[in-house]
Amino acid sequence: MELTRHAGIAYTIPDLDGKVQVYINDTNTGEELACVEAEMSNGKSVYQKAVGWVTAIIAVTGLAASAITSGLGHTNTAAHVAANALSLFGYFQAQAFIGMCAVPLPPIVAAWTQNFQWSMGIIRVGFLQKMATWYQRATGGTPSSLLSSLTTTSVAVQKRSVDYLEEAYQQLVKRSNSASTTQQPSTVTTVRGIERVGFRANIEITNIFLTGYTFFIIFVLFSVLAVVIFKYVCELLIRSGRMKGDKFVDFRNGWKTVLKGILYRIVLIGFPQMVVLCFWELTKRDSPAEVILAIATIVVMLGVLAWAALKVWRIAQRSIAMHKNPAYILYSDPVSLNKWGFLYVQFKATAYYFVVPLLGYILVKGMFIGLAQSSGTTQAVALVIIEAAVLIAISVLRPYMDKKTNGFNIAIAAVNFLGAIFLLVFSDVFNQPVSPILYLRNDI
Amino acid sequence: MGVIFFIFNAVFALVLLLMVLIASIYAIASKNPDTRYQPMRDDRGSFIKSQTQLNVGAELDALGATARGDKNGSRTWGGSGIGSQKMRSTIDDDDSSFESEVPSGMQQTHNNNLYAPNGHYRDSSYSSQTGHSGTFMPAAGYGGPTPGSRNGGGGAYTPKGATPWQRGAGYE
Repeated sequence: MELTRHAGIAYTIPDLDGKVQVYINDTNTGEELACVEAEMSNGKSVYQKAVGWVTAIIAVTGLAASAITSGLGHTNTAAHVAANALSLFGYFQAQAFIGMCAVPLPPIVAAWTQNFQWSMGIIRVGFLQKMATWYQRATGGTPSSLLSSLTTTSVAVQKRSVDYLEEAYQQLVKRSNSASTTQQPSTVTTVRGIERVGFRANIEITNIFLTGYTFFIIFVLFSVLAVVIFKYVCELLIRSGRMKGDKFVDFRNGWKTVLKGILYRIVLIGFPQMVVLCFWELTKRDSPAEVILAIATIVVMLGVLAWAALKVWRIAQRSIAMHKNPAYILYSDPVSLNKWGFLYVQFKATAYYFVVPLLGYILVKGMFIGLAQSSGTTQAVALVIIEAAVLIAISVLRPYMDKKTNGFNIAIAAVNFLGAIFLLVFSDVFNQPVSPILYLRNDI
Repeated sequence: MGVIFFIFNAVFALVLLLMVLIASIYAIASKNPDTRYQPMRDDRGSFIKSQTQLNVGAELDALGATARGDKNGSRTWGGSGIGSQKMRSTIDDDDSSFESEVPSGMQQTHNNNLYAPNGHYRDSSYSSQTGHSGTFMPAAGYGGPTPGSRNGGGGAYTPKGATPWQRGAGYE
């Protein structure tokens, strides 16, 4: 048997989309007995844990910096840093969204977007996975066992439209095994979209929703705890004389309102993640309890954000009626500013309402990704249209508070739009040649 | 194609990350990070209450009091430029309106003529803090008498430190 030599370059490129073909010829007659084609991987990938950690730490640093600066009284700086950190987070979530589409992605794209799945709460922690499996089983669901059965089941990561190829593969298996007496049943399960994301993260498919949900709850609890602890540490330091009494005084006096503002902020940050996961869970129905969790969570989050947006709207209307401009009450009332500020401070005063179209954008995008997992093309087309609309809206209206912030967000919208175009190319709308690439594990 | 996607996204992500990181570090480390940012075009800076503004208000109060020839002690207030006085000892949320607060031992007068030209205030009482604290100073959109703070009136009162948590007229 002679193995074709590979080019040396094949050992260094990450996420190689490569194939290897093995021809088995009869030594005597030179007749081709069998041919096996398989995916080749050199083990290198752009999906690295470090990328996820670094991006997460910087994003959280930005949010924390804005909170601290705001507590110290530098409101302008805090608003800028908060707006940019929030937009950065939104960009990471958009990258994760692309990875979640049921479109056959080139390995490098799938690996790159996998780096941002932490922003969707899809993080693997051993005991959490056990708890998720237990919870699903305890509430009447049937856990999948894809990961634990990898020795007997081939998992095909969707590369090109593989549906008819699965059949072809089954035909191949039947033909090739017909002569051998030791037949091993090999099945192929194709994972696409969110399932692929979970599989790549070593998370069972049926645990994906609960994993994301748990991390969101952890985020909420952790932030509340952090604020409470910070408040009491401040008090201790001031009482013991180690910190001047005028630092953080605004926060210390009104910390409950600030806490409410932070909670609303967390709901806003977790909104894209929960929209996708909750709507997706409605289609997957891992267990009755999880479906109820999904419905309850999405209803509550939508309600909370809608209520907050309505309050801001009413305050702005009253401000216009009383003071002829919407900024007056929105900015001079410290309770409004601290509780609802995250919804309007990043925008210029006359565009206080812009959070509503933004929330709508996230909702529609998330629904398409969560609900249309069976058709990647639909998702790709929808994403192109949605991102184009947002890019046009932001470029024309320029609703953010100053030129720099507008530029920042227009750039992000443009990159998201470009990504959506690429996604459309990766899906099969332009009829690129189909090449069969499967993970094979044959016993011949 | 996939490689192009990866490259431009990776570069863009790196640029964004660096921008946010530098801005965050500058914001925390610098003594006065606001100098880096231009004041907002929508002039929100003049609306936001801060410690410095309140201290300015306190000084103006004192000035106004001297100009009127006030002295500490009980007197009756008449005429224009009067609002009601309230003591604010807790930070209230928008759930409780300031009308529900009971001023302790303070004279309370209402002046419905104060903002008559605007005509939009349901009631012209607005909370102000007594003592050396600042006052709510409406933006320059209003003509008419300057609403200084109400000092004095009633017996001894405890001066309170200025906090921006007090709210002015028209808030829920």
